[in-house]
Amino acid sequence: MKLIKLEWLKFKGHRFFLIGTGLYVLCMVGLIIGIGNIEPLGSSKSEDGGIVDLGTFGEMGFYDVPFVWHNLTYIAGFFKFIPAFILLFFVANEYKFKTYRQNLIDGLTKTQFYISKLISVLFFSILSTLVIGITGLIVALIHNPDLGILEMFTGGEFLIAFFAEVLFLMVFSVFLTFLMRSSTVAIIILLLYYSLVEPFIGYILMGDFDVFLPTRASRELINQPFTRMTQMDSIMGLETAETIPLKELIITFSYTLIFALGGYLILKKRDA
Amino acid sequence: MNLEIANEPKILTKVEKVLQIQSLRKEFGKIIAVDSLNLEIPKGSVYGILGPNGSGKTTTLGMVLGVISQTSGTYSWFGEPLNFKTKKRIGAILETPNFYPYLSARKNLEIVAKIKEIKNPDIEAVLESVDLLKRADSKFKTYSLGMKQRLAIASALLNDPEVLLLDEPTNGLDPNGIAQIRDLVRGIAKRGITVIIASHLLDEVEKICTDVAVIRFGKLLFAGTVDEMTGGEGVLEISADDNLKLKAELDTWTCFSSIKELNGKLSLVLSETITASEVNEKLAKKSIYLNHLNFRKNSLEEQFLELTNKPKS
Repeated sequence: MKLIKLEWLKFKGHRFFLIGTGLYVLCMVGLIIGIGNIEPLGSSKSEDGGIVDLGTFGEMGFYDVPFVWHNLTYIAGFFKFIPAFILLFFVANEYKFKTYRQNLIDGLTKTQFYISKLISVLFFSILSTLVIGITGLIVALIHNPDLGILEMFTGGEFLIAFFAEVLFLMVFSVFLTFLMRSSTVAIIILLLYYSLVEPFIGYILMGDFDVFLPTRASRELINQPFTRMTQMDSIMGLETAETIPLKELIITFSYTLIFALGGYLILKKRDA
Repeated sequence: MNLEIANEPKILTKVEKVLQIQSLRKEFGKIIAVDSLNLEIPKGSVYGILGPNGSGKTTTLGMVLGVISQTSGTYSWFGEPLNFKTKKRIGAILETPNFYPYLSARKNLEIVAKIKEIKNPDIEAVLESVDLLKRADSKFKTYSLGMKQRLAIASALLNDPEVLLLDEPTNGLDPNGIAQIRDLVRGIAKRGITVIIASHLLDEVEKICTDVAVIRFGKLLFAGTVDEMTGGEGVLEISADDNLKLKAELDTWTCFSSIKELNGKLSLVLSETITASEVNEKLAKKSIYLNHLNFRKNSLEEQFLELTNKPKS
């Protein structure tokens, strides 16, 4: 409890963090509500285009249970870097301002300090999942008025996958920050590794092992939902998973644990 | 064992130690930052740790505060290891004042109070004591360096500590700021709080400290009272076969300001001019024959000035 209050004291005074978090939440909510009106295939009513007119995402069944959870968590996944960066700056600040050191001098143990940062990690992961969960529930209720409340959560396991995905990225970001002790370096490494290095290694490995790369599994938790939603799968001969892959989920949680422990060991071993 | 007999010559009291350091050593790769350091800081003293920049002062303080791990050696606070309980009895700042720049002084102190688990912190009072109450709600980053240093002292005082540890508290300040900090420290010492100050300025240590340890290249060069270091009229180191008898005789003399026994020798800081031969003659008349006699006059001061003023190599 002491650590939660401590984190809150540190966090709430920072305008950038508060506004950033607020914007992140608004962004996600706005996106969830607004995306229904977007027409993915360009201008509508293309009567002569020969392409099937799908209309807006909303009309395509974006908000229909059970697809809604798959769709929302997939879209929201693109925004997970926002809380990751906020958290990364928040942790790196403790090094930059040497307040980490002062915290220890004032009486905190390294373990307590680490736990306080894990609390922030959990806070952002839970917040992200809750925002998607609650907003998703509201839009699902609006668009599926004839279903009962429990039926709304059909396909809700995607929320678990989303939580795992965000949690993993948060822990990975914090790990890199503890490793590098600088926000700039940590962000560069995070982006480079996540979007370049690992896909490249994955491409070389090709085979059965690429799923065991650290960030790979977390990325494959929620695959693109659109071909499934629009029943393109059957047309294109694809097979999109209708639920979340258990293997990837386990691997993601394992790596989350590994990086969480790794960050702790780094902190324990190094001088403040 | 140090026997302080300056104030009460007849009673040999063992002074309580707030901090004891035994053979503390820190290596950074091949560099030895602190080399087998032994130090004892008596309760109630204003203890200066004097040394040029890069002599290992901050590393030493970092180790005893638990933020830098030692390569070997031990230390204890109030006879106990460093833990949450002992940390609460210490108020310390290492290097620069470290606060959250985006928070006000008050909010920063709230965080310190939260960490130290102080139930009802009197933030107003400590801010008042360092003359910062008017700026309590300004963000830390808007503070001048002098104000930052004062806030750091306020923060260290928040828990009514028994020991205050300051690292170069006047570094980078203008003369006015320096005077303010020094007055503050003197006031704090008067309240009975033991103060430990790391400094590279002999002048500073001379002005505010009672005791001093001189460190260079991580090695202890000297530890004793400031009087002994600066020498007064000189320092006389003597011993006889029967030191008790010698001491009893010396207690009747008035030409020195303090006596200290160290490794079987008596170290006298002279307050009057007296030559070594005069001392020897006076003692011989009382049938006390010295087996060791060493006199040095202010030589240490010159030596320390030289080494503390040497530019950082």
